[in-house]
Amino acid sequence: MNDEHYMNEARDCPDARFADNDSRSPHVLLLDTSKSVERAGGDLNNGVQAFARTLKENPTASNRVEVAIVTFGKGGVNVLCDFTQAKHFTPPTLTFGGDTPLGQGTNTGLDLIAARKQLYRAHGIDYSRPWVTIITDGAPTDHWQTAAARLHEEEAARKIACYCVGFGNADMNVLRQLAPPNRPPLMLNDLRFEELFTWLSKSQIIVSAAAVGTQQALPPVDGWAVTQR
Amino acid sequence: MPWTIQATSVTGESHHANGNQCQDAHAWQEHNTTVLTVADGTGSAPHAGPAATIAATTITSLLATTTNNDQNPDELADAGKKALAATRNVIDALPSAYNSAGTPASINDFATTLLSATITSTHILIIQVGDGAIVTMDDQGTFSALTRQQEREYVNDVHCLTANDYENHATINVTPIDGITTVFLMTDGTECLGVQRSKNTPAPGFFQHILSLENNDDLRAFLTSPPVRERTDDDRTILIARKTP
Repeated sequence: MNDEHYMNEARDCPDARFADNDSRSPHVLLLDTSKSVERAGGDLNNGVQAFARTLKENPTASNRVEVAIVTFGKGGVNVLCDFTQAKHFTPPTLTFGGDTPLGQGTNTGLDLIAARKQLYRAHGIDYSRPWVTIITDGAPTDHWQTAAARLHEEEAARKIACYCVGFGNADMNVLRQLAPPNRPPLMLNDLRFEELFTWLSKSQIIVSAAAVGTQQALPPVDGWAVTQR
Repeated sequence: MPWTIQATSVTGESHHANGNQCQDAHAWQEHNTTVLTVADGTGSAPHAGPAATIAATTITSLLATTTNNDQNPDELADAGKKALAATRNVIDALPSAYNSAGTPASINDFATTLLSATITSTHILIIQVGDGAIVTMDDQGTFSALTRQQEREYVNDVHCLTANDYENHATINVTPIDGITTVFLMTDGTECLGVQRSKNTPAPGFFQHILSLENNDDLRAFLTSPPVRERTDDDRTILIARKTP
């Protein structure tokens, strides 16, 4: 479904009792699909399916939340899925191989978000602060430092909210430098991807909902995250 | 009394899901003037609900006693400014009160918006901190928004009464009452249903539908109906003042 079509979807079928207000909550999943992830591939795919399912179950989030998937690994960096409204989001199956171009993947994700905001503004659509979730099991194989600096700058300017999760043999030292200083990376407990993605979707539902003022209380991360390391 | 008032607040589904009660509040008082107020305790501030109630009832009672039909616009605006400052002072005292009762609290735990309209025989005084909307209908059936949209990038960012710089984001306006027959106040959960944000224009169909509902039960049924829940899962409040014939 192209953007112009669905941006106007609500307007094509208006209910005269309501104002025409659209609001969106964009979320980019930046996923490591390098060779080493293959052993956890089934769990990671199941996690993304859980993410889609939980969002669809919430009537407001299914309309508001938009999901994009950027993979870094097999075939380099790939926009596997451009922003799609949660109610229409059917996650493609991830396949694995190749290196870990995390820096390039991060830049691609941030570019997607910047372009999406421009589209929202052009159509007079309100939006909440975009989320970026980076999930990786290894060490980057490209130059990631510039992307990290950009990530930090955009987080500090409240252009995005970034969450970094490592699993398996993830280089947490690198992730600590990549992740925004105000939000250190977390290590996934075993391969609890479904719990991680369920947390992500429930958190996204919270931030896409009511006004949050100065605080956002997200669900606790214990259960899927290693809380002491 | 010159105005007939109807009001309701319903708990949003997102609040239900989190085990929270409704964090919206509404209050009104008729004395020399008619004072109408709604407030929205914001997000996950732990004491947002009580803060909204305290702010709404405090400013309503203050304005009811400090405004009258003989005041000119400058005097009304001054009364509004003082009532707002006094309401903030009341909120400021809450953290120490909670702390002394054994409940740790800071000022951000009492985050709330505040929206108030004081109707005299000649003017309406509007006080706005945060989102929500005040819409009027005149004797020609034309709807107008008296409030402004907040300047913000993100739809869920909101200016609160508890912010250090709340005065920089507060609006106090006085406008003539000429021809106005109905005044609607609403928190943002209802505003998103009835006011197009990009142009700050009321959707006539929404308000006409609201006016067609016979009683509060019908109003609550509408505000919890599936078409509404598809559009918002926030708390929803609407207060309606109709000029008595």
